[in-house]
Amino acid sequence: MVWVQWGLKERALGNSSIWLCHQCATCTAYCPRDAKPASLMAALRDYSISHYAVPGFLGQALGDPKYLPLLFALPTLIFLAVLAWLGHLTALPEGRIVYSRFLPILYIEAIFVAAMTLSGLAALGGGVRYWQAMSRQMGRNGHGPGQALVPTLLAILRHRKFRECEAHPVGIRETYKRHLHTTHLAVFYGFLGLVVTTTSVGIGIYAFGYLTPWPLWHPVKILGNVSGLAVIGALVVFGYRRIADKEQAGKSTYSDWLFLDILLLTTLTGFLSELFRLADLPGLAYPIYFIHLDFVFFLLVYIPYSKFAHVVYRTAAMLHAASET
Amino acid sequence: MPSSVESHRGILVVGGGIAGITTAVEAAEAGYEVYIVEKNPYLGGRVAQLYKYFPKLCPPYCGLEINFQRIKKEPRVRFFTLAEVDKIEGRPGNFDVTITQRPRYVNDRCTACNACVAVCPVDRPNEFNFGMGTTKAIYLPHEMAFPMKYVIDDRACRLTECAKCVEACQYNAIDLTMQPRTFSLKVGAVVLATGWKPYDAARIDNLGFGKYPNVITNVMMERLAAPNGPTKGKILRPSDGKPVESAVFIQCAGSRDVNHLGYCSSICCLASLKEATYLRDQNPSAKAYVFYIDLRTPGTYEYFSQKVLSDQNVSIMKGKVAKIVEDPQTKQLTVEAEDILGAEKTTLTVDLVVLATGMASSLEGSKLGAGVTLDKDSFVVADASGEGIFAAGCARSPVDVATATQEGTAAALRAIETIQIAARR
Amino acid sequence: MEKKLGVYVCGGCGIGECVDKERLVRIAAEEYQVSVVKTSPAFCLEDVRLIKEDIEKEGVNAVVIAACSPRVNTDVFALPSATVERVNLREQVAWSHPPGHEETQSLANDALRIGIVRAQKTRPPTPFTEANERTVLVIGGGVAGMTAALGAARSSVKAILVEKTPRLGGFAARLWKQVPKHPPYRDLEEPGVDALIRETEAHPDIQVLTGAEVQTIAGQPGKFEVSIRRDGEVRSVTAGAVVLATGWRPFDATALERYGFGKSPNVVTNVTLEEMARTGKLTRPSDGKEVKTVAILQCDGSGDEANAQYSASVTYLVSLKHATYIRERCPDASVYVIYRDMQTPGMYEYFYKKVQEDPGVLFTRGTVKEVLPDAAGGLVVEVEGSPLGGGVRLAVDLLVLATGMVPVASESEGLNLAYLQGKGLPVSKYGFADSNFLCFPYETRRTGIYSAGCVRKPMDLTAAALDGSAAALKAIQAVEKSSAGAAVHPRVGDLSYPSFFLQQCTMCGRCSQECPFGAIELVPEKNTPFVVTNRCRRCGICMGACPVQIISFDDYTVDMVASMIKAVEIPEGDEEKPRILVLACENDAYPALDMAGINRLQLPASLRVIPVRCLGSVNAIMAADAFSRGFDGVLLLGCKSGDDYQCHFIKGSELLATRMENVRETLGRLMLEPERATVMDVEISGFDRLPDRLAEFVASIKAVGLNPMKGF
Repeated sequence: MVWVQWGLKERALGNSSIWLCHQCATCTAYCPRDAKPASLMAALRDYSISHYAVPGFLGQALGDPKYLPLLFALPTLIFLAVLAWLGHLTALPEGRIVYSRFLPILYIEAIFVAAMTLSGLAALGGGVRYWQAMSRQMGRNGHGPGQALVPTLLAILRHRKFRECEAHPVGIRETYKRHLHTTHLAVFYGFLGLVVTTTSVGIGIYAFGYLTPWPLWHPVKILGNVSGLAVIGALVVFGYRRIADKEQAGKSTYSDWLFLDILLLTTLTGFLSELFRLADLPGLAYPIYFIHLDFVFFLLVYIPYSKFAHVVYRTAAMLHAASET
Repeated sequence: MPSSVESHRGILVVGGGIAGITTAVEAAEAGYEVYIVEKNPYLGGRVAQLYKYFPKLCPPYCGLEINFQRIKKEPRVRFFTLAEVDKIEGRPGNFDVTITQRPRYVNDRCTACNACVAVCPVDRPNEFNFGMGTTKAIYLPHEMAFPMKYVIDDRACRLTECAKCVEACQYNAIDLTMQPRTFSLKVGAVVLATGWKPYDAARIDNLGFGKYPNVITNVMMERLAAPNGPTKGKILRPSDGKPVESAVFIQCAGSRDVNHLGYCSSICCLASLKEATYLRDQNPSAKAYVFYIDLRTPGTYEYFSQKVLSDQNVSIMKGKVAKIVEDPQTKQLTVEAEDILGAEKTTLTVDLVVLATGMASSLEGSKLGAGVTLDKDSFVVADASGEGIFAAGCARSPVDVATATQEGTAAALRAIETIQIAARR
Repeated sequence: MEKKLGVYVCGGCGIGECVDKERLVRIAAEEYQVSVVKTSPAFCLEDVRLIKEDIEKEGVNAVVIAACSPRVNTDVFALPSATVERVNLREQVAWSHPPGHEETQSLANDALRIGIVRAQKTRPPTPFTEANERTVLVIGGGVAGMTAALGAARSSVKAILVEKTPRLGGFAARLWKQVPKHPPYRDLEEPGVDALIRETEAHPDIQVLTGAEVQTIAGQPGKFEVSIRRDGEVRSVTAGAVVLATGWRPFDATALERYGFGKSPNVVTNVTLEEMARTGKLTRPSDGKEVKTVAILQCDGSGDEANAQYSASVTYLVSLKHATYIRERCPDASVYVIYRDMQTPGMYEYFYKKVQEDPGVLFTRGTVKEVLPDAAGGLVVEVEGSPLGGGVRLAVDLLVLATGMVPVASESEGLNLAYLQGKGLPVSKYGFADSNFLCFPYETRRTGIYSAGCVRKPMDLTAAALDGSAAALKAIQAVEKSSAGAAVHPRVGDLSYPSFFLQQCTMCGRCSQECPFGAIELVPEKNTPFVVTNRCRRCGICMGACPVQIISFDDYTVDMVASMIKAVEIPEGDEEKPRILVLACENDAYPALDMAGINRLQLPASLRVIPVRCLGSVNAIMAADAFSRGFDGVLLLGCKSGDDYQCHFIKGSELLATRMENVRETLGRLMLEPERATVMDVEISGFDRLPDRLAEFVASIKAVGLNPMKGF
């Protein structure tokens, strides 16, 4: 906090604390000066994402609402181009709604694999830059991240840190902290579930030729739907609490809302696509599916630059902290 | 003299602690009539509950004794114990003060022979010791109490239903039918010396007071160390009565904090250093740790802090304590804090935690409304309050004893100025 | 007037059950031929009437009340037309000894004997009432001095205000703003000193003498002879009391050369910065450039012994004020405050918070390692020990050193007392006027002279104004008491004072040296002592100091104490009945003995307690006499001495300790063991351990055996 006041940017950004913080807001609750350290930490995290972003301009773009149309334009144009080439811009596929007929899985996979490789590299780049900064500012003790990897991953899987927030609740602020653990857990595993679903579908198609859409009773389908519902449910709670707890947890920023909304809209459009498909309303189903893809692109490809980057930076910080001891 | 220009030479002093007593005797010795109105059954206020003063580590009763001697010799000082001011009306030189005095149930015939205590069947928590230990329902507030008269706590006593003490008293000193009385005084000026009360430590929810028996407050520590305290001066753990081997002092427990008291009570750093010496004097192996934000040692108190800190077993750490965890078996306390200068988290496991709670104004929620301007912390804004009404000591702001006596003396003069100016009008 | 004793033995509060009252009655009647001896179950109640009747009808004029401690029922037994001696049979006999025991009885018997002898020997004092000038002299025309002068004048006491410089105002007149003193305690305020100056100058009862200095002060409270030099002329005035408000000087910053002071013009003191702010020139001294970055170094505390450490609580506020000046004047300036522990007690915390909220003021704990010039004409300040981590280097235009406040030494200027003991107020080891500064901050060691403001201790304007009022009150009090011939604190109202039997004086001068209050002067050339009555605090230290015992008070004499010692019955040769004389300080040790009784703790029955005004009033010869009278030991109970002394008369117990060397020597000459005479520090609250400590002493006396001189 004092580093920020003094303008010691490098020192503040190169510290693992900003990402070790899970925003339990205990500090804000107890701060004798009403300085709202939790909000500062959140702002620092936002700032550090754009600071370490590779390439930098994408980091800037995600943090500024005026670039939002531009960011959406990219996937939209790509998908429009493919659709135009397929001729689906003028005529939707006939008959039963099958999304792969609208936009073949292979095309999607190709686009996503290409884009995600780039974004994966970018994320790695950001992570490495942060790691180096931490090593510079906080010193190194010679240990690599290797030893700490397993315990850190376990900690993430168990959401141990969030539990710590819950361990010492403070009076009226209890509601805020109690939800943090459960809600984040739901989003986390919900999202993982969706990733597993998508991967399974891919494997199903390519390894076994098991074409989509799969029946609703299929375990993978069930997993997908349940996960989706978990994510939506948790996101609604998150959104509500962000408004309700803004006194305690600090005001939410543009990037908070952007990430929350994109994730919510991605999941929602996914469900809508499914529903419209089942309701056999091609006029609604295909456009929604298109939008869904847009959101998925936004969500996944911009990972290193949005709040989603916390998967990279927080893991890095936890690894760094764990490998120090 | 027509009543419109009537003026009075008397001074009302509200509160009989060190500031009020000082105001009273200093004004009386300069030739003015003084009335002290004290809420407790004895004079002496908060300092009577302290074991020692910093920085001289001398007993407060040394100075109180002298002041009581001065009161005994000075007919111009009159005092009312168990009394509170209901209202103050009027103007400089001519105030009408309404006072209500609660019944003591023991009259001036009491010789303090103690026969009543032997027969009293009822116990009450000992307020003088902050609830540590009990007294009988009829009791002497403490052995140095002035006036040295017993008193009955009517919240505990069954009064006429029991009356065993009445039988035991050879001197007809007990009157269980005594009623509150309201009376009024005419004075020329008023000095508020209402003092302070310890901030309620239970409101600091992360430090375990009220939850863990071995978390106590600084004022409780004074009573634990005092020879007339609940442990006869031995610093013992409340949970099991074992001598304390190690203690953590937490500064600014509820002070300099927007969630509690926003101001600094100005004495707690020195009080904790002083209390560390209590522990060290009793136990050559005991260790004391002080967590602080800024070590505030105004004026020459700086030298006191240097002296205490030259003891290897007293260490200080700059940092705010985050939480305290109790071991349910041993009742040991683990204190977790950030050591700012060492830039790391630190934990300490100790026998006792002493919260340096601050001084809150006794005027919080007071009915002394008219003519008195209070700030948001309920301290008197001295020069904004009505003309002829002054404040001294912790009624003005949280201060140490030396400042309270200074302000008490100053308030005596300001009251006299008021009286003289009114008389010349 | 012939003395007629009345002895009243009370049986209440357990005394009757503990001792045989009739024995006591017989002692009074037979051993001392007292004709009026009465008993009662409680003299403090209706039966006080019996005593009053005897005074009226029987002509009793010396009353001995053998009942409770003199510390209680003071008002009940205050009998205006008789002297009253109290014999403590309750707290120190009945409540602290086994009832019905032979030794308890003989303790009570001796206590009564001591009381009767005291009553026989005491004389009602005749007060000295010849010094009754009421004007108060105030030295120093700053806020404290002006408030003191106004305080006196408003209270119908005339004041003379002497100021050295050509105008009133003191340092306050040189301030641009003062720190917040009103809620919400966030904004700087006007010093408001002009209004104070106007009121002071306009008050008809204040004579303002600017450009004037006090040349000498002789005399005493109620009659200080003051000569004042002004414009080369010397005038004489008489004052009843003096307020010393000569203020402070800035700490000499040349000692802070290591921070670049004196080397770079851009290193200035806080006093200079105040001046810069007031004159509107917040520029870099080296080249007049507007300051954009300023570091304020709070040199304080143990890390910086070169500075005046005791003024940090004021200088911190000044630093915060200065940070505000700079930020208000140049909104884009940055101010760095380097400090150790932020000293903003009380409501000043809100001011600190306000300054902290300003993003242009940056605080760090730390010390300055080095200050070097930089290429741009500014300075580079290297800070170490900062929690920011690593070394911090600050490029600044200006470095402000928060230097401390040094009190003006009264020994060298201001007072010029024509006292044998020196020109100023004796100071404590920290350089401030010595007093029991916690409980009685204005009681200096020069009666009737009270210090106020920053000469007493570092303080802000609010406190200085209060201090001025308080000192004025003490001055008025001194005037009141002096004109009545009564002592001021702590033996307030005491009308007695020492007199000298000069025929036997050896002119050794010890009394004049040892008096803590400088009350005894020597006649020039003859070197015989005389007391300057109203300076005297009636402690009796002179009486203890005099090697030939020629000093006494009307109601407290060497002969009286010697006779009281003689009154004790010494059993012969009984190993189990040693007799120990206890001379106990009546302020602390005596109440502690009472406290033991109130707690029903058992005290050794072999002690014979005689209260004394101060241990310092105990003469070595008194103690030695006790041994020749057959006492087996002498115990002196008094207050702690040293830097943290608790003696009400400052020096009493310390002086006694040195005198005890003589007593031990005497014991050696008498072939007695030196440990028979012991001094013990007893605090008023030390009653819990007192019985054991006393019992240990008795045991040690028993171990060395009875006094072989018994019966001689």
